Amino acid sequence: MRHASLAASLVLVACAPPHGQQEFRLRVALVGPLKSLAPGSEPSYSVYAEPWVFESLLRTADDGSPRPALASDFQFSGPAQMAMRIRAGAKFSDGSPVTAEDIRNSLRAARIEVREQGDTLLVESPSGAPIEPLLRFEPIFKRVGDQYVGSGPFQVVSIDAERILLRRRAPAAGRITEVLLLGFPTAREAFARTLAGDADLLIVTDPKQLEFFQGIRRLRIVRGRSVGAISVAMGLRRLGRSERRAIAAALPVAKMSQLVFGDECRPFAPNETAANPTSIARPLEIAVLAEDPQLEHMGLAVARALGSRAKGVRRVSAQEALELFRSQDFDLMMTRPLVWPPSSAALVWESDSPRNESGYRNPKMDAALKAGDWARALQELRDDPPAAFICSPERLALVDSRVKNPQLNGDQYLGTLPDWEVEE
Amino acid sequence: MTNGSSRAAMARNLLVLVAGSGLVILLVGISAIVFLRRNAERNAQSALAVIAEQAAARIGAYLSHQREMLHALAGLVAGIPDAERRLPQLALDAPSLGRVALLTSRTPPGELPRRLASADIVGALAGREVASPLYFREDLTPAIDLCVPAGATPGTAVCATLDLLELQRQVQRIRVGETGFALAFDGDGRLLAAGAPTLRPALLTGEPIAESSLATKVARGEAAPARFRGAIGEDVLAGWAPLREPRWTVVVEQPAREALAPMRNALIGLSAIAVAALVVTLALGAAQSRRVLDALEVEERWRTAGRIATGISHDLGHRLAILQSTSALAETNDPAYLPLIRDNLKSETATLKKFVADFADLSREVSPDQFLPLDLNAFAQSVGRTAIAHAEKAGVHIRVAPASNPAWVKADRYLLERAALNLVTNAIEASPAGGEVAIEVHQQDAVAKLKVIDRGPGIAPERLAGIFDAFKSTKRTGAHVGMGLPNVRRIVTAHGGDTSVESEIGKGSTFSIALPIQLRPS
Repeated sequence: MRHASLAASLVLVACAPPHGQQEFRLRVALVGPLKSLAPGSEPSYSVYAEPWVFESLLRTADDGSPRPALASDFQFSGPAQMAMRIRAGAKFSDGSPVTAEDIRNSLRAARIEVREQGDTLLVESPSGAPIEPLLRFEPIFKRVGDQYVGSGPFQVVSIDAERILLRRRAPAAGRITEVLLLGFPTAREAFARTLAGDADLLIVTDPKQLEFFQGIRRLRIVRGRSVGAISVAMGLRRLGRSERRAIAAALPVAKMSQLVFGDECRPFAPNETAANPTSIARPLEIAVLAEDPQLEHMGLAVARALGSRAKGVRRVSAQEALELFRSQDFDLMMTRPLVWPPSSAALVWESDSPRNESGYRNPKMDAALKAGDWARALQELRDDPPAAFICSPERLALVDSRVKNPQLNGDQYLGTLPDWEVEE
Repeated sequence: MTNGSSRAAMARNLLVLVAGSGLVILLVGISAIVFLRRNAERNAQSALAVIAEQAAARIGAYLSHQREMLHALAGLVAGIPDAERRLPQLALDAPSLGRVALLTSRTPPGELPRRLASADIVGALAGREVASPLYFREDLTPAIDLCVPAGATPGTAVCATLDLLELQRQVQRIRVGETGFALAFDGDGRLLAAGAPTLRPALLTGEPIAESSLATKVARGEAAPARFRGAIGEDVLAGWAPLREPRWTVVVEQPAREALAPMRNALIGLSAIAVAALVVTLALGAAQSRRVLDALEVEERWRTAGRIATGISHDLGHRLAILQSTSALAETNDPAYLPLIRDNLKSETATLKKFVADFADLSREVSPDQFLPLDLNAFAQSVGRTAIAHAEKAGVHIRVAPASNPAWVKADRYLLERAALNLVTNAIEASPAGGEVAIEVHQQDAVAKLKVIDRGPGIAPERLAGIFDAFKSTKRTGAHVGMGLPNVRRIVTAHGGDTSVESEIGKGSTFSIALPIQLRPS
């Protein structure tokens, strides 16, 4: 009996959190309903949490270069081929080790093949398309029954349309232990509830909203570099290459970004002098997302820049905007495509990219991308522009003040959250 | 007794004087505190109201400026197509105007100002200026839809979604003290801007807060409370100012604890000064009283010393005269005088011995820590037995009547016996031969009484009052120098008890010793 008690107490001691270690739960305000984090699920704001559960093979360093994530000892032998090893000890949340087969299955939808050569994996695109941008975003997963498990630091504990609870798989001193995603009915509700103290993290879409948080010491404003840009997409079905070039040349991007955002949006080509848009044959309609005042203002700035060549600004719904973009049957439309790091061009504009929603084709740019020459690819993109890039606004979030080093600079908005340190 | 009474009366008068001065100081202090409190609250509220008025004036000026700007722009509208194209771009140059557009009868429903009612749209097209209530846009900035007639184009209006973020900034910027803040409400009490971060969720949810009813009353021109439990969860002082157009109210409030902190500090200071003044007055009064009483004490001592000297000189002089006469008789060498000479010497020696014993008793200290339980019944019997010899010599009968129950007291048996024997001896000497002296014990409530009763000639009323004072013997002859009864009182008082006397001329006297009853010792 005494031995049994001793054994039980030893087990209890072993299971208890280390002395002095406190649990830290972060509540993230999002707009619901929340959906599964599993790859291929219906789009929802729970996507912000995806990188905490499902790792990708690579991630992006601050200078834009690829860094190991689930892959280790990786080496590119060309833009379309990479040799790598699986990070030692990498396991899914169900305890099974990450295998070459899991990586192969995860990358199949992205049309990337994986072959084994001893303990090395060869990851390549049969079409020769650059794979590095995809490897930074494609989640590696394993299907267990009807569930998907990932190798990231967090795993899903419970999930419904209003709350998703994620818990760190292995204790990490001074880090966030649990994340609770809260799906509020509207953005306004998420905002108000964060103000009221019911959430500890809120993604801010407009700098004006920060006014509400003046004097609230519980939250701190965190700024980060955006990987997207406010851009003027030019309808490929309606506008020819020369017209698109003329439009792009007619937009004084530095002046426009200053006019709309002040200093809060880093302009592309800041010293550019706008050309007179004489080669534009007809007045152009500018579509803007009705719920995005920033894009609407930028649409007005485009209209002013084009003068009589602008027909007016038309507000469209999110669904309408998506359909228009896929059909490319519009004149001009304000969008926020991915622009950083430069290799991202391969993800958005490369002809064979699974994420090329516009159907844009530019063989010269494709060739540059396949050659891994990002600078030339961007030059080719400017030569036959699908969009005019205006400026990159900052990422903004309000984060619990107890988080010591929140950063928003990763590939994904909150991708670095597992590394954030918290006050103990 | 006269001197003692005047001294007590003087002490009482001095006490009344000092207490009266203290009371005056206290009343002045309390009045000042009440006055200061009322005044401070009124002043704080006035200051808050002034800030609210200034804020309301700024907000009013800002809205007027926006309205005038829109009127000016509307006056420039020349043709519909040009205006439809150009007006929206004004939002870039005047971001505070928000979305600007031309309103005509052909404007599609989706492009109409969303927060204006149909009647307002009709009114705007008919040339009236119309405005929506304040609302929060998709980007959560506060705004109102405002339409003004387009100057040269009848049947059209220029509409703007006025961005009122500046209003919020102005309200948020107002800080009163450490934690005072401002709020803005519409005529229905809906919160429009909040300086207090904790109240800002109500901006978006539209839920009323504690101050909403106040704002509604102010908008209606009704009286509103200036101190109440605020939405921040504590008592606040508030000042307010209404705007005429739109009918908004600016409320500036500050937690009462903070707003009245200077007053509280002043009150603490004032109270401290009042208390200090009180203490100083009492201390000075007490010191002065003590000096006066000490002077009286010294005077009283001299008087006592005089009385003692008079008594001693009188009594010793009397004894000396007898001894001189006896000496003269002895010098005659007449054997017939020998018995007289013997009796005189015997008597005077006894008297002087008693004299010395009385003084010795006076000098004996009474120590309560040496008191022991004593049954007054047994004590009375003992005193009676001790006095029998003296009583028989005087032909007086001693009767002892104990109480029905044991009467326990705590006492120094020796001293208490000296006191009781003194009374009994006096009673025997006052009684005629064949008379009776009774020693009775009584119990009443928490007091035990030893009564010594004689049937002698009694004591004149004018002598009764000071009978326990030194050198106030009723006899003034023989061995009685007047130290016996004062000593009795001294001993009994030291036992926590009291002495008293009742007497009637021709009927006798009753002397009582009252002592507190103690629990029976276990």
